[in-house]
Amino acid sequence: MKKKHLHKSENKSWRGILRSTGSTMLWTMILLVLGGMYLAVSAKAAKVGRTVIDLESKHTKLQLEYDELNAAYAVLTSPDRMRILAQSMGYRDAVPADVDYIKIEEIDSLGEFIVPAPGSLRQSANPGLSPAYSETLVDALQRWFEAGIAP
Amino acid sequence: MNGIERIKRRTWTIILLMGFGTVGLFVQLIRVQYGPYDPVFQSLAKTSVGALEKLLPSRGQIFDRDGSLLATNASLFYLEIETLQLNQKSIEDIALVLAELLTLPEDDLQGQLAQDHEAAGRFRIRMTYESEAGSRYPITIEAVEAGILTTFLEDPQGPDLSGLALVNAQQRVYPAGDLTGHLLGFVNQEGTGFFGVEGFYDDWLSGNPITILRAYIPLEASLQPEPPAGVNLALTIDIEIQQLSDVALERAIQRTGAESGQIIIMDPSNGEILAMVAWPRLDPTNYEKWLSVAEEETLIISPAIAGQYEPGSTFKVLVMAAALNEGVVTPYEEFIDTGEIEVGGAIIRNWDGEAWGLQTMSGCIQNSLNVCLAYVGSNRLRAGSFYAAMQDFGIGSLTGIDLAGEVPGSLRTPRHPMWTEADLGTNSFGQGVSVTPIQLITAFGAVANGGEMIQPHIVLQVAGPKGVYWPKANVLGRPISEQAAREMTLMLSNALERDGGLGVVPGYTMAGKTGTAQIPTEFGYDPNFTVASFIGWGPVEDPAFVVYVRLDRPTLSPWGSEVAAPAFKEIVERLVIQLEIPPNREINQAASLFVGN
Repeated sequence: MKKKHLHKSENKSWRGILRSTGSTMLWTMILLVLGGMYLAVSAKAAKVGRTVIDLESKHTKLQLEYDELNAAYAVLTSPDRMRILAQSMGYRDAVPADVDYIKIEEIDSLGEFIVPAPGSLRQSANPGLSPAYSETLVDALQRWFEAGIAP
Repeated sequence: MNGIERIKRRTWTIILLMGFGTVGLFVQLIRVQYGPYDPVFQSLAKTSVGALEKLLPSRGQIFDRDGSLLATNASLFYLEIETLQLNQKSIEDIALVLAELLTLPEDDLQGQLAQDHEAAGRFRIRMTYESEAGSRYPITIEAVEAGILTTFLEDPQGPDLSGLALVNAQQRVYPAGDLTGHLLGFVNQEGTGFFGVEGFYDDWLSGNPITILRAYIPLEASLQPEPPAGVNLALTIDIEIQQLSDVALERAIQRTGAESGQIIIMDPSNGEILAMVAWPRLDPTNYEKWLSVAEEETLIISPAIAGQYEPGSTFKVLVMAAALNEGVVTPYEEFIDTGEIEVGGAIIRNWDGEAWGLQTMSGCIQNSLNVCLAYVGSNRLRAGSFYAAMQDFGIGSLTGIDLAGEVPGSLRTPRHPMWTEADLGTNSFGQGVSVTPIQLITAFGAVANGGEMIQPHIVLQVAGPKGVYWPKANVLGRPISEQAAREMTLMLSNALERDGGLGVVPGYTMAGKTGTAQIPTEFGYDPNFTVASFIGWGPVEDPAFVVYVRLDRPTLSPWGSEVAAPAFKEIVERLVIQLEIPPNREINQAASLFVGN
């Protein structure tokens, strides 16, 4: 009788352990799934955010390059330069006697130039940082050993 | 070694590694907080780099009327130094690299770096160079040079440039260079526009900077707002007409030995300025050098609107036009020129000191007779009508042209305590009154435009974020009637037909007047030098342009007829082609256009 009772008690404890372990595992699984979902969503948001930062940076860079190229083109085709080039090719300024005027009724005039809308290039007014600010502890120690200057 | 010992050893190894890591972390934290970078991080906290960021919009572009770019933006970089990052090697390397790359004196650069900045409380300095005049200016480099320095900075095997930082900024680029300098003005290193279009429209062009909360953590990143950009402008200027004017002015100055000069071309029907050039040219990208020279030689920026002078004979056109308008003279009314006249106690003589005898009013203008005009001003118009008419022509007041730096000139009226009757006599032939070129061409524009005076303006279109806006031409008034304007034009045109001169343009009927003005000094008028000028317009039937030519202190000849008129002819010969104005007579038929001295 006594042995039977003991066996019953051991069985009960084992079931309790199983139940609590199962319950813990279930909550752990739920937490893991939720955590995984949170991480997945966060990772996706972070990826998008990184893309936004990258694209903004590229956008600014491209606009700067566009402005540089535009300015360079305008300088290359400046009136003074074109005049010198034309003269070097043997052209001269026209005088009224060189020109015959013919009135063409169908063609009134060339299209009028419409000034383009302003661009949206923006530039940070904050001062840039010297690349040496990105120095790590290892870099600093290396510098210290090499140059004998305390970091 | 049993299992427990092994576990213990592994545990200690891990604890030791973690200990090292923790110590390293603490050392780095202490280094950041209290090490040499401490002021840097403090300044970062103050300027909120990475959090609040000030964004500057790009400055608006400027185009000519056909879309040629006259002013735009490009990047430039200032060289700044974080002084606490400097060491002996980096001081030497930075000085050497910059000296080689930018052709600057190495000693000067090293001197700037080697100072005891820490003691002086300077943690960030901007590198400068010394100009020829001895002034110091910030060193600026362009994208190519910045690329080279960045490569060096990122190369561990390269020179030690610790502490060097490149600060990006906007640079104003003027593709037409000094061809448009006096017209556009310039932008200083702080981005503020001065003089000309840049000065007048500075607020519009520069836009509004904004401050944003910049998130560098990807999760918090979002699209940032754009700062409201500055407007783009299209000017009334035609760069090809601007260039042909500049070429003509340069030739005239070389030919006549003049000290300086200006040319303005305006459409009298709407006040649009087609060209505005001045010599010596102003390079808007190197304005500091020009300013230092200008200070020594009393040169003026935008002399077309700020260079006041006594106009001399060109002023007679306004006086005669006013007399015709008042009906106090007619073109064929006769006048006997005795060679001198007394007005208010002052004796006035002709430009050649001679008596010209019987003349009509047309003859008075054609021969530019001071005596006759002094008579018309003092005896026919009289002071009240004379000064009222001159004020109607805008003499002594601003035209309101949209360029910064305009001055009003001066006209002493009878209300002025220093005014005397003699002033009326001298004012009548263009002495004792000071005008600006823009005032004079505006007043002549009224005669050319049938009596209606249009405000001169330089901006044709304004493009903002909400669209394009076309400013309208303002009518300043009607100083003379249409009939008086027609009579005046006819007087000048007929005079040109009868007289030959260096300003004749074959195939085109035009009107114009020369001016030879004396230059007032502290001790009376300069006996050696004059201001020679010519103002003409055409075609007379339907005026499309008024051309103003002025040459200061020519040495070839003092007379406007010999100095300024040929430049006028050269300009008009090309201008009619640019504006596609066909001749109104056979080109081979010589048309006279020249009047007076």
